[in-house]
Amino acid sequence: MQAERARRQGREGEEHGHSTDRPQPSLPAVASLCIAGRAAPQCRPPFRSPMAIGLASTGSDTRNEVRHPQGAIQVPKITFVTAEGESIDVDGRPGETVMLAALVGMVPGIEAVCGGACSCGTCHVYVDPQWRDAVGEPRDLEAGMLEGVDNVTDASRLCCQIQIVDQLDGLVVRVPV
Amino acid sequence: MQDDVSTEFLTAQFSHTAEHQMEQPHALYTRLRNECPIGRSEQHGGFWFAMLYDDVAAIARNFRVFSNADGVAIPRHPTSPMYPLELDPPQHTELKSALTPLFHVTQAEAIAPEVEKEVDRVLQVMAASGQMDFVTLADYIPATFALRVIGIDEEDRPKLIEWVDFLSHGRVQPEKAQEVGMQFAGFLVELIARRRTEAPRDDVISALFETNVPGMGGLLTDDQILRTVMVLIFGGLHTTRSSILESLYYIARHPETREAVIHNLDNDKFWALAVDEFLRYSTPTQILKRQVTCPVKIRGTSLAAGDDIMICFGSANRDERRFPDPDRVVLDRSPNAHMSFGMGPHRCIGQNLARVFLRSTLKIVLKRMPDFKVPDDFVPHYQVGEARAMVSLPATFAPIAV
Repeated sequence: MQAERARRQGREGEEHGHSTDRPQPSLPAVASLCIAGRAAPQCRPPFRSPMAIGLASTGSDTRNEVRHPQGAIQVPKITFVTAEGESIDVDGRPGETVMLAALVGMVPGIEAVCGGACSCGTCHVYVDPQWRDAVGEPRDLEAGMLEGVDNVTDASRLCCQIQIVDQLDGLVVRVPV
Repeated sequence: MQDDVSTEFLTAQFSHTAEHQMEQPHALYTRLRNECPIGRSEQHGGFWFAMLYDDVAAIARNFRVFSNADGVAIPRHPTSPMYPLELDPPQHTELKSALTPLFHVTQAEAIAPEVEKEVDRVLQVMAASGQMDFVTLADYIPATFALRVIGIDEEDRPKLIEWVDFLSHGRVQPEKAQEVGMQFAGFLVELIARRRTEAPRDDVISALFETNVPGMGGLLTDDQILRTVMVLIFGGLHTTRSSILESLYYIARHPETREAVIHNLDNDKFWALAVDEFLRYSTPTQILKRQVTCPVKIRGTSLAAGDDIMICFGSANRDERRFPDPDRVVLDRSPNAHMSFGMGPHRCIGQNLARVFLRSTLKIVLKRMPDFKVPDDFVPHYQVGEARAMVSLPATFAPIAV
């Protein structure tokens, strides 16, 4: 199943025939990072800013290329369901965190202000019920931080503290409204 | 900056190591934001730069397309690679996660009373004459506490300040940089080897001996510890000094800001916002490098794999698209997602300590010498480079009775 998904996602990887066990970066021919704001004259038509605080979806048709830069490697897929109900699939890499996957996928609502230091609470997600055992409970530092976060439930985690492992392939997390 | 010079010329000439550009860079930044937000400089062998907040944020976050592994400085640091800054995930993630608990906000805040007391003591010692250069204080406080947290003994602190100063601003002289880099590394090699044989202490070096990072081969080697300690020293010393001086200078020149600060000295809610606004305004680390890992388009401009791009936090923090009235310190600015600590996975690990140092210093200076004056004819000069810091800030005030 993973291989099938990988085939769907990565033309480049297929061409280069990556089949190593360890994920090796195989980046797309052209990743496009056309960012909104006041566009430069040569810029393509502006998208809404993916990075704006209070992030809205970019509507960019090129986002997938940035979101799946790995090509055809078997990697855990993480699904983010945004506050607006949009599902965004991101290829995770074992050893990275779910927060990092969100940054690469430009997931709206995951600000991750502190960059993964477990000290800001802005990468709060709700882990889908069927994944809660696999993901586990927050540890001390994170539990303390969650006390200061709005709308916390039993499903709440700071996703900078969720390490991506192969067993989390298919993980679904929801971004708070 | 001269208005009659073409944007093409300014773009090609842009250099973070050029004093005439970086002493007062904001007019240049503003023009580049408006006319050439993604540009290519021909200096230092050629590099791209990004000036707009949204671009800098997107690049800083996307560590897969924009790598730190080739180093974050131009010219390169003689001691590169330093960890975890000049590593990419997943190695970066693993090492940084191990370090993070040592710098957590609760730990940083726990030393705040002691920092305030020390600022107070230093002012009493230095300020009996009614005049001082704030550089002395701005050097002393971060050096004392950041280096203590790391585990550097008091007698070694002055030479570290000197080395870090040179390596931050003097790398355009490659031979001298190499020499200073080797002195700095040599000192740390000896220190780490010695500390291995001694009883553990309550500091970062001792904690690093116990740090297990499977992705880097298990327990850290002396070399890995050396590269980690280096980045902590760089981050701890220089940048905090810069934000302290820039903030004090702004206060000296803006009576309404001074009044507001004095009025709120013990108001925690005030400081929670004000400290980050002073940080946004000062932006100690103006610019850092990323290396492009795959062909990428930004605003229609094509960058090739292997290209260097400098992301300009100094410009992003004054981007009027993000921060209304960006050149003014708005003490209760909110939201204030500034990038003085960077953004994304490499965001400053010492940010909580930095806030404590800046807040404690401002608080006690304004408490002890609320009337301090910087001479009217004083014009600040800066050391430039990736980091930008005022060289001197002379002040006079009513002598503090000891």
